[in-house]
Amino acid sequence: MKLSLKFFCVAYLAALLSASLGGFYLIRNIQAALWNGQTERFHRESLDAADRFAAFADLFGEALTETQKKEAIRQIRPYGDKTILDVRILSSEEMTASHRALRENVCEMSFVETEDRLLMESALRLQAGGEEYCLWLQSDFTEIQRHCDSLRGQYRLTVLCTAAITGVLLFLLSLRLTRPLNRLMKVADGIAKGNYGNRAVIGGEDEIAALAESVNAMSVAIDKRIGEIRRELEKRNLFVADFTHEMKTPMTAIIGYAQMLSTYELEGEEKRAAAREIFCEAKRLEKLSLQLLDYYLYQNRSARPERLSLAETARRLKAALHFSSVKYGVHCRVELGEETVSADPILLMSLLLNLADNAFKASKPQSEIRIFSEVNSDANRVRICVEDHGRGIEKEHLPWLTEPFYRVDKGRSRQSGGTGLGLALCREIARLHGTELFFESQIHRGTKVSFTLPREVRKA
Amino acid sequence: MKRIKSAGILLFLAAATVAALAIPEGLWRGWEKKRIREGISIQFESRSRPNLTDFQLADLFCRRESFFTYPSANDLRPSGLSESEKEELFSVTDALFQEKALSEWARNLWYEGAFCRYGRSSMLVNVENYPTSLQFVNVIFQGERGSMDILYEKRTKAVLRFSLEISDLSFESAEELKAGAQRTAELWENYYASKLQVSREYFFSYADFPLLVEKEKGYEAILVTGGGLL
Repeated sequence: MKLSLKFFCVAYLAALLSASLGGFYLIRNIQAALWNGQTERFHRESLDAADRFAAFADLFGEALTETQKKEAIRQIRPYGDKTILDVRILSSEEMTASHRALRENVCEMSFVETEDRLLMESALRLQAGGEEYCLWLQSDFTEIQRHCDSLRGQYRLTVLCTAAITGVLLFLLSLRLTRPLNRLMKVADGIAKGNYGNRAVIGGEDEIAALAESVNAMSVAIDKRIGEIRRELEKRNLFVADFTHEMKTPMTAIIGYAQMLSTYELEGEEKRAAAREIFCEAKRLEKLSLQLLDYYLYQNRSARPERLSLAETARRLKAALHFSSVKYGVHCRVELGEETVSADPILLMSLLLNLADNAFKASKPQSEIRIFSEVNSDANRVRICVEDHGRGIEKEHLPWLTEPFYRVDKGRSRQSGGTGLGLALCREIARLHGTELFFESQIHRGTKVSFTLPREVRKA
Repeated sequence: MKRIKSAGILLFLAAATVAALAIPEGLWRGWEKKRIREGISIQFESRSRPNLTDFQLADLFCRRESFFTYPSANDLRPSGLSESEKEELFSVTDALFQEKALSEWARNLWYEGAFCRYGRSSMLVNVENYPTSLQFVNVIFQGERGSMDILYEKRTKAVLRFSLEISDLSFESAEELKAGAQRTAELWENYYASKLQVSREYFFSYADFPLLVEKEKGYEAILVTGGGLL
């Protein structure tokens, strides 16, 4: 059943019930008040008439003549009450068996229905002036009955009007209330079908408007999340494609040299050269797999930061870079300050070595790379920079440098033994420390890579 | 299926509307029938009535709460009054006149009188919130020696209004005549002021000689006198 129909039915029945119950009790009370009022009045008037008649009859001390009875009726009749239709005084000779059956001094009242009238009669057998009489009065209840009939007619009309007006109003109201819900339902259906851009436009400040806002916010959030998932998926697809490509190159070399060794009878030096190539390419594959392992490890672990002296780090870094400096013929200056930072020492060392390795590779022989630190303007963080004066990187490549397997110059990178995962690893390490890598580069002028670390202030 | 369901719901609502009209109607009618079938019995206790005093009667009369309907031609009594009526009347006049000579004169008048009218009228009044019946008697008598018109209440026997005309009076001197008229007027005053305890402004009394004839020895006169509540 539709919500609008449910609402309509419940509200209609509630309105009908309240109108009919209210009308019923109101009319019943009016009816009871009218009936009780007239009955009470007739009681009182019957007894008053009897009292007056007793006083009148006492005066004569003998049976009243017809004239005296008429006079008595004239005197005792309650003229103020128009509902009293008839008053009769019956002497003992005129009384019927039913009158004689009445208990003495008990006023018996009962209703009599005729064709077009409802009457109440009272009969009282009493002794007055030493004689027995029956005093008989008749009151007309027809007017009250007509009045009650009129009230009932008004009730029927009121209930019918209430039902009609309430029905129409509730029908319109139920449509108005459920229309926004239908709109929301359509939006939700659209979202289910993948139309995340659908929005429900519902004005007002009621709960349904708030619900529409929530649905819209949910739609935006789903849209954003789906976009992220898509981008993530694309990245992964790209990653797999790049990884396959990176694997393919050394594998091709290894397969080629292995086939050559098995097919041809090679002499001493040729044979060694082929074996050396197979070894080199296998080592590249090993390095690739190790870096890939590191990459996944960094993505799924957290850093264990500790207080770390930059001076001590500088000392160890100098020692570690000495071999590369000699190998590439590039002078290396390590000028880290005296600050203490919060960082994982192993990861930080790995990050700096990677960045320095890239700087060495990008630098020309006899040039210089510089690794230095500076305190940020807010004094809470220390910026560590690795700067070279090499060939530099074009601006459009800068945003993609940290993507796995992204290479600015693919041929030269492989030649220099790079796997394409170095900067991706660096980015993950920076992320673990709550920072990111910032690249500044100019062609033929060099590149500066920097990141920040939280500064540990020594307590007094 | 959906249509059948909707039609069912509409039918249910229509039935509820009809029920909202019919059920109260039935309940009202049932209540009315029950009331009509019910009989009511109430014990009637006739209240003991207070004794009406002369003063209360005079008060009712003066305040016009009780009134007398004068007798008509139907009340003529060519054969005179019954013995019981005469006895009642004598007791009333004896109390009013207080003088033996006047009482005797009145009795003789009624025994000898030819024209008589006797009227009664009854009415109910509320005294101290109790219904009380009053019966007024008006007797008009006319004879050769004079006439009398008297109105009294039967139970208390209080005279509410009366007038006398005595036509066979004879006096030796004018002073005696004046003294007689004075004494007669005082009799009525005494009756209303002392017996009925009515203030002076609520009753009247008069005594006059409209016709005075001088004879050889003294005077012959007609006395017109009366009194009553205003």
